[in-house]
Amino acid sequence: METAVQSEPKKTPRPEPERHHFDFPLFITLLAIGVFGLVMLFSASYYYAQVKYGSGTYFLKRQLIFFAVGLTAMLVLSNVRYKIYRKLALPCYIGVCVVLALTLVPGIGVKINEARRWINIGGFQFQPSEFAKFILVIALAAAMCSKRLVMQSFIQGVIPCLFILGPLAGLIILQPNYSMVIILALVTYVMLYLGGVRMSHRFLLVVVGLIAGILILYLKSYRSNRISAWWNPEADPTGKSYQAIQSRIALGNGGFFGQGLNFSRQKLLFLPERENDYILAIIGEELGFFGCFLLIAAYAFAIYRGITIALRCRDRFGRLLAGGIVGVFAIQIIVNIGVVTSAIPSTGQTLPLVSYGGTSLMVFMAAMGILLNISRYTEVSTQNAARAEQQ
Amino acid sequence: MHTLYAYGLLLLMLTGFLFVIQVIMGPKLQRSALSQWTRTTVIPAARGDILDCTGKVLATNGNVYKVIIWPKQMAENDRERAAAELSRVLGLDYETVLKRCSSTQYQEIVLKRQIDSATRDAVNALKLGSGVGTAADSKRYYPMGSLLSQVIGFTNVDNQGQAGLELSYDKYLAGTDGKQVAETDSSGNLLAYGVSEYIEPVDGLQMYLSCNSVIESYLENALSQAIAVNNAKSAQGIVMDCKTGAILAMATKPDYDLNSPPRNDLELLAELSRNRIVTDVYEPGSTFKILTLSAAIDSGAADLGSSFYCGGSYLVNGEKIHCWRHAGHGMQDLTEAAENSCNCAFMRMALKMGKQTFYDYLYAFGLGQSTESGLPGEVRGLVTHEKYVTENDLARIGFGQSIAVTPLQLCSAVCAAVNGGELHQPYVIQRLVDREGNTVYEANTAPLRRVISAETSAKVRAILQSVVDNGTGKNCRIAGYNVGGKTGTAQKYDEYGRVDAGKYICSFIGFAPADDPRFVCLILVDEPQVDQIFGSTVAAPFVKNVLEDVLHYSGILPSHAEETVTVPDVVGLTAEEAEAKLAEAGLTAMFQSRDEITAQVPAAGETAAKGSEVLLYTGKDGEYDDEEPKRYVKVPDLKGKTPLQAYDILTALGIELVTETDDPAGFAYMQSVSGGTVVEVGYKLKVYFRFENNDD
Repeated sequence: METAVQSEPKKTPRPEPERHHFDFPLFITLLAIGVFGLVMLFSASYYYAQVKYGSGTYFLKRQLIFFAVGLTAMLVLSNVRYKIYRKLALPCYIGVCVVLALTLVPGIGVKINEARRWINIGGFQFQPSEFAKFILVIALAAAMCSKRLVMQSFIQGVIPCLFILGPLAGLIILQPNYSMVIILALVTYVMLYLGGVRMSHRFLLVVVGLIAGILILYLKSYRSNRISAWWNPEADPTGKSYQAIQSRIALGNGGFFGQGLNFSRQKLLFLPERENDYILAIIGEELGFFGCFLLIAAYAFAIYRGITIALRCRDRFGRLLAGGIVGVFAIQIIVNIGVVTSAIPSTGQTLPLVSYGGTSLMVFMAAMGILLNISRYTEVSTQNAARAEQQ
Repeated sequence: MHTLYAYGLLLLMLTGFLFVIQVIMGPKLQRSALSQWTRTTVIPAARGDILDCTGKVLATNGNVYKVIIWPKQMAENDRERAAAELSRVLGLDYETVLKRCSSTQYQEIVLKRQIDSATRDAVNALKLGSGVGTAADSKRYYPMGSLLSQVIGFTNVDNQGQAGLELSYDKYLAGTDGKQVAETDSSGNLLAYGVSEYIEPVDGLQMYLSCNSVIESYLENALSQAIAVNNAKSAQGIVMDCKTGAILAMATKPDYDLNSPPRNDLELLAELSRNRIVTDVYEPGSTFKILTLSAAIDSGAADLGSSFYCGGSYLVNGEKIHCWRHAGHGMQDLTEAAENSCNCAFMRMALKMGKQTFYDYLYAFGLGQSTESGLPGEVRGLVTHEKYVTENDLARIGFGQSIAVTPLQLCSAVCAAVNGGELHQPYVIQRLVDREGNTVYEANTAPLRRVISAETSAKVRAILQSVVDNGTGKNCRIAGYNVGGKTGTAQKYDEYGRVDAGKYICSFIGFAPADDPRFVCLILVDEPQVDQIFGSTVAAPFVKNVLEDVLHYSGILPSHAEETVTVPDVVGLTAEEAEAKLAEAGLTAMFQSRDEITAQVPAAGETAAKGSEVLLYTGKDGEYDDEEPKRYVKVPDLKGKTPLQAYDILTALGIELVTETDDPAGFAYMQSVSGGTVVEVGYKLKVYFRFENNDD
C-alpha cells in the first residue's frame, strides 16, 4: 500500500482508512476519570445526603443511573458513524431551541432560585442547555463545512455562524444562565478558530464580545456582585464570598497529600455545592495537591488524545466536530478549576465526568462516544490526514 | 495543535494556583478554619468556699441553672414563637430575645443565668427543640448573711469577685475552668466519629479565715449597740489574737446582706462594702499613747519612776500645745500620766526620745506601711517623713495627733506592745486547702520582729491595766478578769484638712487578760451624737462587752473572785429613780443629762462588778461639753514678772497667756484684767511687757 501511495500520489484519492477500533487510551482514561468521580462524589456527598435525605447513598445512586445511561450512550454512539450528524444538525438545532423555549414555560420548566433552567421528565430534572453546548458544536461544524470556501469572509463566513449562536444564547439568557452563555461564546470562538476564520475577524469578535459582556454584567446586580465578591473576598466572608473562602479552606486543609479519602472536614456542610461545582475542592482536601494533579493530568491526557483525533481525522466535518467536543470539555474543566481556586468569579459549571449532575454526565459521556467514533476513522499520522484533506 | 498548547498552558497555570493555595497557603488556611470546625464548651470550675476558723461555711455555691440558645439550630420560622415563649417565661424583653435568637453569627448564646429549678423546668416544658437548652450554673450563697460582709465581699453574676476577699483572692477561689473541644459540622452538630478534647476543670481552693463567726457576732452586736445608744454615724471594730496576729473578727457597721448587695445604688454599695478597718485612716488620738509609752520606756526616755508636771499646756518652740485638761494634771508619775491620759507628759516623752528614736519605734510598730493583711484596698496611713517633721509635730504625734493610721495598724501595733514585744503579721486567711484536702497555703504566725523588750511590754501592760482599774478606762472593767486598755477621742477633719467642729471619733482599745494578753479589741465610734463624747463612755463599755464574751467563749478562767451584781432595768425611769435603784444594787449611775432614761449600758440582766458604773442615756442630743464642769480662778497680778514666769503662773491656773508680740521680752507692766478678778478656766489674759528702763 505504501508503494501505491508513493507512485500515484495525485491521481486517485486516497482510500478512506478502514474503520478500526476506537482510541483505547482515551476510552480508558475517560472511564478511569468517571469511576474516580463516582468514588469522590460518594465521599463528598454522603454526609449532606444523610442529613438532607436520610440516606448517605442518595446522590451516588442517582449518579450511578446516569453513569450507566451515559456509558451505554457512549458505547452506542462510538459505533454510530459521525457523518450522520452533519445531516441531523438542523433538526437537532431546531429541537434544542424548542426545548430551551419550553424551560421558560411555567408548568413545564422547573424554577429553582429564580432561574428556569430545568425540565422535569419522570422525576429527573434535565438541563437542556447542557445539550445545547454540543448541538452548537455540531451545528457550527456542519455550517463551516458548507461554507468552507468563504470562511475568510466576515459577512459570508463569520456572520452566519454568529446567527447559529444567537438564538441559543438568547434563550439561555432568558432563563437566565449567564455563565452558560459565556461557555457557548468561548466554544464558538474555538470553533471559528478551528474553521479558519481570520485573526483580524476573531479579534473584532473578542472586542464586541467583551463590550456586550460588560453591558450585560452591569444590567443585573447579582452578576456584578459575584465579580466584586471575587475581587474582594474579605468584604463579606459569611455572605457573597462564603463559597469562595470555604473552597480555599478545603484546598488548604488538603495540603500536599490530603487528609485521606473520607476525611474532608469541609464537606460537613461548611462548603456549599460540595458534590457539585466544588467537588474539586473536596478532592483537593482529601487527596491533596497530589490527587488534584493526577486528575488534571488525566484530563490533560484526554484532551491531548482528543486533539490528536481531530488532527488525524481526514474530513473537515470530523475535524471540526472532534475539535469542538474537546473544546467544550477543556473549557469547562478550566472554568471549573478556575472557580474552585478563585482564579475567576463563581459561575456554576460542573467538572466534566466527576461533578454530580445527571444531564452533564450523560451528555459528556455521549459526546465522548461521538469523539471515540471519530477516532475509528483516523489516519495513522497527522501528515497523512492533512494531505488527504487537501485532496 | 495550537489549541492544545492553549489548553495546556491554562491547565498548567491553574495547577500552579492549586499548588499555591494547597501547599503554600495551606497551613494558614487550616488555622483560620479551626474555630469553625470545633465547638468549645466551657466546663466551669466550682468556686472555693469561704469558711471561718471553725469550719463554719461563710460563702458557698448553690445549684442554679442557665438558659442557652444555639441560633443556628433553631428553625427560621420558629424563632418568633421561641422568642415569645422564652421572653414570657424568663421575664425578658421580646425584641431582645428575638434578636439573640436570630444572631446566627454566634454559635451559642447564654440567654439568662442563675435561674431556679422551677424556671428551668418551665423552659424545658416549652419543648423548643434543639436550639434551646438549659445547663447547670452556679450562684454564690452567703449562709451567714451580713456577717463579715466587708471582709468576704461578693461576686457578680459571672461568679467573679467584686469586693472583699472574693475580689482580692479571686484567682485562688475561682479555680480554672475546663473545656471540651468537640468537632462539629457547619450547624454545630457533633460528629459521630469526631475527636473531642476534654480538659478537666480545676476547682477553686477552700479558704479558711482566721475569723471566728461567734466572736464576729459578739463584735457586730456590740457595734450595732454602740451606734444605737450613741446616735453614731458608724462604728468599726476589730478583735485580734495578739499571740499570732490572727484577726478573729473585724466589722464595720452599718453593713449589708451579702446575698443581696444594693447593686442599684453603687455609691451606697461602695460605702457599705468598704472594709474601713484597712481602707480608712484616722487620727488615733489618745489610744496612740500606748505606742509612745512603749517606745519611751524601751528607749529609756521614761520609766515607772519618771515624773511629769502638767500645767495644762506645754510650750514647744514658742507654740503652746494644750493638754486636754486645760487646768493641768500637776505632778504625776508615769502610771498616773497614763491614767490621766495627760498630753503634756506624752509630748515630753516624744521630745525626749527625739525624732530619730521615736520614728524608729513607729516604723518598727509597722506604721506608715501596709500591714499586708491581704484585704483589698489596704492603705499605708499617713506618717510625715522624718525630714519634714518639726518639734511641734513630734510633740503632737506623742499624743496621737498629726499622724494617721488604719484601725488595723493601730491594733496590730498594740498587740506587739502588750504581747511581750513582738510584732506579728496580721492575717485574715488562715489557710487555703485544695479539693484533695492538701493545704497549699498556711498563714505565718511567727513574729516578724521584736519591737520592744519583754520587760518593757510587761511594764506597759501593768500601766494600761492601771488605766482600766483607776483611770479613764474604768468602763472596761470586767468582773474577775484583769483588763488593760486606753481611751481615745480624736477630732475629725474636713476635706480641706481643717478641724471639723463637733465631729469626733471615740475609740477604745482593750486587751485581756492583762497579765498574759491574748485578745486585743479596738472599737471606733464615728460621730457619736451624745452629751459626753469621750472614748471612756462611748466606746469602752462595748469593748468590755466583746472582751467579756470572748473570754467566756474561749474558756479563759477568771483570775480572781470579784463580787458581781445583776444590773437592774432602769430604762424608762427618771434620773433620780434610776440612781436610787442602781445604788440599791451596789452600782454607780453615770448620767448624760438628768432626764428620763432611754438606754443603759450594761443592759439589764448582765452581771457587773460591784461598784462599777452604769451609763445612762437620755436620748437627748447635747452639745459637746468639756469633761470638767466650768471652773473659775482668780487672775494673779503679774507686774514685774518675766514672760516665762508669767507663762508658768498662768498655765498652772489654766489661764492662757496672750502677748502683743510673738517674742515678748522685759517685765510685765500691764494686764487686760487686773489681779483678783475671777475668770473662767481657759480665759485669755493679755499681758504687756517692757524693760524697766523704758518705764517712765
